[in-house]
Amino acid sequence: MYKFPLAILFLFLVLLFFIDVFAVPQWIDFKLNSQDDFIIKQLRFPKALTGLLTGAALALSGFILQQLFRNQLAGPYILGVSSGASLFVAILIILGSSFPILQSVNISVAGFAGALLVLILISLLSLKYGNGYLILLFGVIIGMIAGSIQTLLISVASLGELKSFTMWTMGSFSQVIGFDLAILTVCVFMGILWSFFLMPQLSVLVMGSQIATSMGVNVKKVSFSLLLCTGVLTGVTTAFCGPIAFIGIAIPNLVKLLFKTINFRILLFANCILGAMMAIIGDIIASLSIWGIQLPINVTTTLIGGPFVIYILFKNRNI
Amino acid sequence: MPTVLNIENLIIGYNKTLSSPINLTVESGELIVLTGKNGSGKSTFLKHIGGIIKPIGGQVKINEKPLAQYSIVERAQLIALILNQRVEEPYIKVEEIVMMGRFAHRQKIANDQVVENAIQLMKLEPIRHQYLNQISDGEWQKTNIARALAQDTPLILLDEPSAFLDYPSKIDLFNDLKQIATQFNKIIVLSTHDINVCKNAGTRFWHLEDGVLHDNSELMAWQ
Repeated sequence: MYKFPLAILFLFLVLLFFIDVFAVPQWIDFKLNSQDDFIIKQLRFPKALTGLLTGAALALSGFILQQLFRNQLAGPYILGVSSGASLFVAILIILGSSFPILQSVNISVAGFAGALLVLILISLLSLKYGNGYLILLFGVIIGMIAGSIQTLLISVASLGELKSFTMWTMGSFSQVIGFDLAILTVCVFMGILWSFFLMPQLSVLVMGSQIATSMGVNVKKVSFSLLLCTGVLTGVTTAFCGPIAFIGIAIPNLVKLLFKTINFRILLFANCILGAMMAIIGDIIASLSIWGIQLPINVTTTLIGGPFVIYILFKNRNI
Repeated sequence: MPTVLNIENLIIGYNKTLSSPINLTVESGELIVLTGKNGSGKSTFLKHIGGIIKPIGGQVKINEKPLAQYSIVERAQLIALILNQRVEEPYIKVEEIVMMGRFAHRQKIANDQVVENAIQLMKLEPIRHQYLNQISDGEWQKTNIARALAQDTPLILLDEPSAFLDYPSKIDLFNDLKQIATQFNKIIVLSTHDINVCKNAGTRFWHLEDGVLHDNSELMAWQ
């Protein structure tokens, strides 16, 4: 029933992808000369693909977490996964100069390690205590602790270190090329495939965990798998692109209003497509260099997407 | 094949002990009404039978096999549980909840003849395409029972299904359950405070008081 609108959205996504690759900031003709060829293959295509994958991964993570914790406020940020990544990147950038061992470490490796650490903690806790508010609260507090250590590090950082860390937190799709892009692609597709098979179980969880258990869902096992899955999705995207705000919390809420169904596989694709669209729109606007400034991706997704999503949510409040 | 539910030396309780050991045997076709004051352990007892909370002592057996030896999916094919809570998700349709019952058998949410029969039996046809935030509490209970029928289990457990319902809906509900128990030869155990409405529906009455379970063929006078 929702396959047709999904197909339309997908076509829009393809269109946006082509606009992002060929049309902004300047139109590049399909008859490529060698310079244009380089720009398309080495700069614009990897950037657009990174945006597409990141948007899809974050929206899907947000959707899974919101369903798992039965809380519309949940998102990749709230479990502390992004904070873990940020902390490790801050440690690398700021303490890197004092500890030579750290200088050989890549920023994305540090980000992924931080995300993975928090994630493993949370998954193990959920295996023991289920998926209640306790885990959510744990994530929030871990995020706060990581945040304050980060502040401490910033207070001792030099100006140069401060700038490179701040640039990382603003988010960017343009640093991911070659082997990194291959890793990102594989991880995101694995994550989508993995969660695809767990969607029926996740949908039965709307009945509450006790009823879901009585209906044949192994709640702890499913929660553990899905947390691990969102952890990989959030961890890998945060590691490569920095903490991208907004998409993970807003898109799942938007999808819920547009697609009213229990078929979570439809919702999975809707989240991926709309999340990717949001990221690419953000990237297109960022590339247009309004007022001669290249806006950071976090600014465009939040400032432009934010009011739109608020409008949609309030407009539909009494449905 | 008739189903036999055996409760052996079961001690109700989650964190603290709520009863002395209970021994009961129930066979197909019985509709059991469980009464008792708030906090007497009715809900916990039902969850022990459903296998979603481990009892403090003793065990529950279905067809001579302890619950703990069944897998989660096998258990879901034997026991359907209905708790007294509404699903917060507003954008789910009545028929989608009923289809969810099929998950226990096919590991997916699906529509088939069993679902259609359940919808017909519970007279949900007129509201099957409505969303959960558009239906009344009485209709929600019918949806739940249809879901349990789609789950196609020999045992159905209901925790206070008649709470929040108006008087005609309560009578309607107990008539439906009585019909299901006899027509489909199922074991139904339900807890309730509506002693006036349930006394004609039950074939057997359990009453939990001060940690003792009284097993009677008629409703015990209590207050």
